[in-house]
Amino acid sequence: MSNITKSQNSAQKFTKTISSTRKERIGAIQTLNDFLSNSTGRLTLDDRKIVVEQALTLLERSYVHLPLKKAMHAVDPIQRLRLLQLRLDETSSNKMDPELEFHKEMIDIFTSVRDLHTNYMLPTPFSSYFAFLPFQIESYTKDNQLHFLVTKIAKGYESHLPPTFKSGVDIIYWNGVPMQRAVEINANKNAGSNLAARFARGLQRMARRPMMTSLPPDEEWVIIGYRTQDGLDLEYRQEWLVSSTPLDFSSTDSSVGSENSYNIGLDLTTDLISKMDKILFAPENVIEDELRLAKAISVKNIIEKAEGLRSVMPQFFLAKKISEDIGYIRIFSFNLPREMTTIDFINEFLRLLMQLPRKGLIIDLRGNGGGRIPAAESLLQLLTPRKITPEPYQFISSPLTLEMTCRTTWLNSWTPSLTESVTTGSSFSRGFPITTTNEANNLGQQYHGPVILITDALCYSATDLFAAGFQDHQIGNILGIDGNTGAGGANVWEHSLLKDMLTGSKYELKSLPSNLNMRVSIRRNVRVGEYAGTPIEDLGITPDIRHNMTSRDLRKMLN
Amino acid sequence: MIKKASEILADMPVRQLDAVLSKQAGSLDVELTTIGISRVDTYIDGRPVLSQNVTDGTTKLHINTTSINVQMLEIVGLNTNEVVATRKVIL
Repeated sequence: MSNITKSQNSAQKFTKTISSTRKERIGAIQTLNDFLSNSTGRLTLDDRKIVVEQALTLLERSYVHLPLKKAMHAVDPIQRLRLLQLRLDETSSNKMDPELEFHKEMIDIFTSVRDLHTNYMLPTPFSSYFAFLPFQIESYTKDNQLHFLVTKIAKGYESHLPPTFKSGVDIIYWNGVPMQRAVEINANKNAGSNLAARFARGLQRMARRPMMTSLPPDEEWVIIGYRTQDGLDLEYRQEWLVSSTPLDFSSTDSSVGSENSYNIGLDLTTDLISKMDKILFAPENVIEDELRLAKAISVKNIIEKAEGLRSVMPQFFLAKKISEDIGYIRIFSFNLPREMTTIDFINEFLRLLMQLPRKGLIIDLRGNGGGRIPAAESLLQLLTPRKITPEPYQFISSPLTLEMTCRTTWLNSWTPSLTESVTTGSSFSRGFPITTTNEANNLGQQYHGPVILITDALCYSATDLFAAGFQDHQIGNILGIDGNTGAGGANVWEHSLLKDMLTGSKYELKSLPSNLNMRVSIRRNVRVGEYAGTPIEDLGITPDIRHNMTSRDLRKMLN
Repeated sequence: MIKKASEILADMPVRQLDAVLSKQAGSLDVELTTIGISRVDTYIDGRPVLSQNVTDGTTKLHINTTSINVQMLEIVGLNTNEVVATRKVIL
């Protein structure tokens, strides 16, 4: 290896060359070193004690997967929190660990349950920042070996890179570690519940660290060893960059009664990364379309006036004709902003669907981290003559969940079985759907041709649900890029939502300091049809057919 | 990946069930275009009204409606007694 090129002042250079539309969304860019020099935590000892106490309440009294996780991953997050609580009780303000160490331990405890719904979310100032490297890496298989291709360079950053480092080069070393091993090491720090899910997130997070859910990288720069398409092995040094504008985190709507707050099934980190990737890599017109949609008074009017296969919701859909007979729709996310209705989302999908060929449809869910549960589940009806049975969701049986369902009208269906569990000892409540039977069936089948679904290990939660429904209602085959999906089988609620619901009860929660937040899997879902009763969590959706991505696949997408 | 997906789709049966409606007082004329369907059963507001064999191509149906306030026509396409396609039409 030779020719190490240092990317000095890359942050300032990037700020100057990025387009104004992107700059508006990404904000000022600084190096990780600058960020860490100017960002210190603000949590007092008492704040930390509250954080641990609230985490204990959430996990011990409401976390629906706790028994499964303790058994499946041989972990005990409750005991770890109690030990941390004890340590905090025995320390004093002037002797406590640096704040990042505290967050590191909390993240480690939450990650130990391998559940991407159950997150510790860092406080201000970290939560508003995003560390990234200005390129995207995807893997492919050749001769039974994994390879790692740079598929995209951030728009505006191309001129700051060595001329030989461009999309199409293979990354072979990462700080001197062979790339596959480096991804495996990173995978183990992530919460994916099965091996495929963990590896996919390890790769995804080699170059992206949203500090809302991840600690800043340990290293301030990375020495990247790469092989050019001409077969030259070279190295260059890339500093981590940090964007300072808070990304739109549209699922944070913790007011009771808001649709978004209680029907979400989302891998938050994947969603944040996906939003960042759009800003870094999407064509300018996609960024502009997204901004236009965000500012629109009526999404319905925009859909009614739309023509052609260019989606008015480019953050959600990409539609194209593959041939005279076959159409393709990629669904990037189900995480609708709070001002967008599920019906708007379905209508845009339907508008695109009706313009595609009728003899075959490919629905591509790769990288889709989930979102609003009814948005995902209501799409299934358009593709099948079968009546859709929405998946049922269950609470864990506990005094807290019983109290919560008693106090909240729209949760009353769950109350009788939670009351019964006091005498029956049942671990879970009975299950009731989040998507109503009417929502899941009111439009009926609209597309009658054959359909195939493409999944990968980044598919999570509401997207797992879509894939499960696709299989359970025998809509078509699933072609898997990985051996499993992300396996997120729950509805996730934030601490603030639970706090609102439990105000005035004996389980009343406390406010978290410094905009710190937590999420927890609150209701688990189980499958219907042939797999009725099988949980999705950890098990995921096994594809009917496997396909290992090839360099041809990736290079074709580059073009 | 797309090539493999396309090959799998090519081995799956193709169906079509399109309907163009003309509504009159007391009746409905329906022009169906079908592929891969041997029979259609029709329902108005959940009640069965007509069952008819079809072949690939266009089929015309005439459905008498007892009420003037009918709201939904549902067409169920079958092939060898298995439901293979449905379509709901708001009237």
